[in-house]
Amino acid sequence: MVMLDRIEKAILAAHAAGNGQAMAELYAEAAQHMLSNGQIERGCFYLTQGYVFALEEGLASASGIHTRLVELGHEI
Amino acid sequence: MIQQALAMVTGPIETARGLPNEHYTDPRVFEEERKALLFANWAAVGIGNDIPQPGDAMPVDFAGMPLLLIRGHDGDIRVFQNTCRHRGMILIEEKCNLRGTIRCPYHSWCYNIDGSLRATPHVGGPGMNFDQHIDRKKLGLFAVRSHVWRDIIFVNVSDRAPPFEEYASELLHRWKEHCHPVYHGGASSGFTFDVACNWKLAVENFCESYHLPWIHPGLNSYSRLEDHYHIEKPGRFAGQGTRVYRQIEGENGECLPDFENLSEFWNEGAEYIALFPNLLMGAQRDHGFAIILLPQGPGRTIERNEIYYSFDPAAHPEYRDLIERNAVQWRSVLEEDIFVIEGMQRGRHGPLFDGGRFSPKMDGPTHIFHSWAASRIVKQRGNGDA
Ligand code: FES
Ligand SMILES: [Fe+2]
Repeated sequence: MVMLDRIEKAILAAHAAGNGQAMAELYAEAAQHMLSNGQIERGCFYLTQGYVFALEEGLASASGIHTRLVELGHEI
Repeated sequence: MIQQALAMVTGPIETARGLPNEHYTDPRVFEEERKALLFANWAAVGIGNDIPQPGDAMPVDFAGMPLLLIRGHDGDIRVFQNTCRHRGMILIEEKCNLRGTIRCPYHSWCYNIDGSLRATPHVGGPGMNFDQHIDRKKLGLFAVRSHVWRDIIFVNVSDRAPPFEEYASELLHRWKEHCHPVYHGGASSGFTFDVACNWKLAVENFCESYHLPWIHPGLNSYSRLEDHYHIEKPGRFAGQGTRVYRQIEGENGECLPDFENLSEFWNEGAEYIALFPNLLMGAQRDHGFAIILLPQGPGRTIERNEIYYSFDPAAHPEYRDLIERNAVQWRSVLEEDIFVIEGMQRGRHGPLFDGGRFSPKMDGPTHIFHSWAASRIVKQRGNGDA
């Protein structure tokens, strides 16, 4: 939980700074925590957020996130 | 009554009147002309030099229609309506380079650079990114038909004009010797005026040489009125030419390099043509220019002036000085026209003005433009889709 707190704060800071790359990474990191704790719905929400910013930034990580979302049945 | 006034415009020049006041001042007629003149034809909206790099994107307000110009990774230019297919948010507010997709700033639907819809986050509920009723294949950005010629980006919003090569065929033929690659002169070779007049007044003033001795007395010393001729292609374009074009020269008589393979005519010939609706162009042996008129309402126009050369200025610093001087010279000539086009706009608030008259000898090109506009509007009204 402390860990997520830290990430949440960093996400807000990245939003404020308009730092898309940081948002992509931080959201994906938060998603990872939730998914590994079995929080699938919450995890997919964060994964989606990370996916969008990875797409916008043209990051290679977008395709990995996409695959993960598809596996979880949340993306086509 | 109004139809009668337009019939007066399309009549023979000897007895014709110009377009009535409301074509310059009335927002309803502006709306009508937007459709009949600007959207139904091939209109200029920007230049390739606005978006030189792959991924470059620029929003353009085209007579109130939000457009988005994008250069793809393949180098091709595409034009879209700058409106999200979800709730209609404006997608891109400022010129930028797209690193990846276009993300709508509202609910973050993402579009590829080719306009296709790539992602619809949370559209099926939180974390669920698809919905059976939202077919991404059918929800790409609305593409607007476009064409690029001499670095100018044209659009045909109605999608019903003939292909550009056909639309402008007579001009392409007339200026076939000028169909070379062109290079923008750089920052100072692009300058913009925000003028308080209807866009058509800028076309009308550009077409005619009648005003030269009065408004551009500096030109008169070497380019006399009698050295000019009319260029008249009813229904397509109009303008003027000169037989005494003089190149800009450096202190030691050095000149800018010519476009290749020009015939003798162009040694001292130069032509200035308005391609209807909203593009004004100049062709000379050593440079060309384009003036794009972006209507902002009945009484306001953004006028973009862009100067081009036969060579890449970045690769030829030795011509920088002449390029700068040429820009200064054109700027001062074009600035001389501003008070007239703005003055004609104010004059058209006089309710007694009846469209005015044309000099049968001197105003042929202007009449051709008026006649084109009037007949297009009459046709649209006849179709009942005014
Ligand atoms: S309006 Fe663009 S995503 Fe909702
Ligand atoms: Fe002029």
